[in-house]
Amino acid sequence: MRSYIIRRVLSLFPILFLVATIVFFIHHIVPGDPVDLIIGEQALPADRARLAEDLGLNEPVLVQYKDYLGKLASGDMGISLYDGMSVAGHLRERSGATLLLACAAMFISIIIAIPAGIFAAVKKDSVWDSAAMLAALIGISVPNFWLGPVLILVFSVHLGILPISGIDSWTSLILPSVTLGAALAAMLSRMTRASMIGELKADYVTTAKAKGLSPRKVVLKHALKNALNPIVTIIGLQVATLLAGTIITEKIFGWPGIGTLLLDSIGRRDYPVVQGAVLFISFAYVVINTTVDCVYKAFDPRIRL
Amino acid sequence: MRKWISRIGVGVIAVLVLVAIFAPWIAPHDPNAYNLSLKFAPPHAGYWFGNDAEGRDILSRIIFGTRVSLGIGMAVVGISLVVGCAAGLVAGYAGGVIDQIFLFVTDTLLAFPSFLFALAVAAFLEPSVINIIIILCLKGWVSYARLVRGQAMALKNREFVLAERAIGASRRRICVKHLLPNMAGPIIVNASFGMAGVIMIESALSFLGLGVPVDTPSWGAMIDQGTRYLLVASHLSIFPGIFIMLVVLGFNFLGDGLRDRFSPRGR
Repeated sequence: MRSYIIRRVLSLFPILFLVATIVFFIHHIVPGDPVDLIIGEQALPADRARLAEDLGLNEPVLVQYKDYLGKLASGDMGISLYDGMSVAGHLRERSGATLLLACAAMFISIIIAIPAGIFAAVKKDSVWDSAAMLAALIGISVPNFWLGPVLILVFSVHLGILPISGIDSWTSLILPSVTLGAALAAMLSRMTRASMIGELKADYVTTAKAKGLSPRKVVLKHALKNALNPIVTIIGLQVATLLAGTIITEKIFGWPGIGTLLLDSIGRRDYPVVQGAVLFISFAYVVINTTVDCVYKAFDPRIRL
Repeated sequence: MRKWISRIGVGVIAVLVLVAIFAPWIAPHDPNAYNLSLKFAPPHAGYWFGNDAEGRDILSRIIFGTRVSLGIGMAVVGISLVVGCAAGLVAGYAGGVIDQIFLFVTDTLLAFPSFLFALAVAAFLEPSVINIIIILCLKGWVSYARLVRGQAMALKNREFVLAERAIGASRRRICVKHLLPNMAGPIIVNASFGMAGVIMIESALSFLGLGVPVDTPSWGAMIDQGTRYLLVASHLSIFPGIFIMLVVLGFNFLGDGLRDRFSPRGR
């Protein structure tokens, strides 16, 4: 077991190194001079030369790459071209809001999806089952950049009960987290249903029923406990996906997280910050996925390594 | 019920494909004709879905947008399929060092969330249809390649393949004539879900202004304009969103139905 975890943690390093390399080369292989992109072709030659010098673009690419990796290893991601603040500082400032949003979305989707999935499984092939699964299919297919504005329209504009944007109170967390969590809720409810249907057919459920346990106890105490295993794994793996999914949700609701920082920086052609934010989200994605994998293997006695 | 779901999927997709092909004949107006006197007009006779901020007919733009979404979807899935199948077959059938390199490259690409990867590349490129297709193919081929590799490894030691080898069939013949047809089921299922995914990411990039060029009628870009005028004219974003949902739902329904059909347990 321990050797498995050590192996997984060690395998993180080459992957993170490659992710960093790809992020660097996306910037350098893509056609177009970064100087043109940032200040335009009409800029004065002196300004262009100074910017190129500041960005280190006069060095050969491999030297730039070596510099970049060296700095990255010590946590230095460069300086924002827009406000001169360090990229790492920007990321630190914004990561809390993104994390809060991702956790809230996760919470909302779990409390909606798991009861809905259990209910659909228990009432399999009924109208309720079909309705829940149709809702889930719609949930998977609805784009969050459309769901967000529609929710704003209904709950903020027409009903006036929830704020449109901002991060002032807990009520302002509701619409963004529902927008972000809808697809996950849809997926989880389908998983829960499938997993519960499998367990409800098992022999131990028949036994539990035969010894006279109430249907409620059979479902919640016996079947659900076993059905939860695959669901918990999916939830873990989705933490990372949610983190990447916050980008659009943050834009819609003006949420001051890393997604908004990334999109604003793309708009301002502030490439060091763009690079930093992409790197940050990708690193988080890889690290979280590996951690979940290890934790899952450590806790499930059925997986022997 | 299950059967009906995939039939609905096929129906929705068929209608949208026809709409895309015959767009110039179906669209009631020129999708790019400005008419400022109709700015933000709500749905009314002759303009069933209303008019946008420049007075353009929303219905006609949605009809032409079908071409953009389905066209990009088909191009990306088509290219990714061909590249992915080729790479997966070579890696799975050859094994050894080639397979190790293959795993290394695909593992690295899988380390990025798809949308973030597309966004990171798009940020450095001018918006254009060709660019968006290239961007989505860069990572799109990986899922097909991994699938095909797994299938190829499972199939390559089966009797029918060994028999082919024994009678001296070339590797290429074995791969194309025997391996591929035997894994067509899961590949087609994957392609159907893939279409849904590609259309969603393309709309999302266009929503952010990083997808297709500004004046191209794209559903994602229309929603973007709509959200800016959400309080004045909500119909701007409502209608294109419904169409994205329809097409994604259609491909998801189709994928679900095909999976049930191809998986042995489903029969």
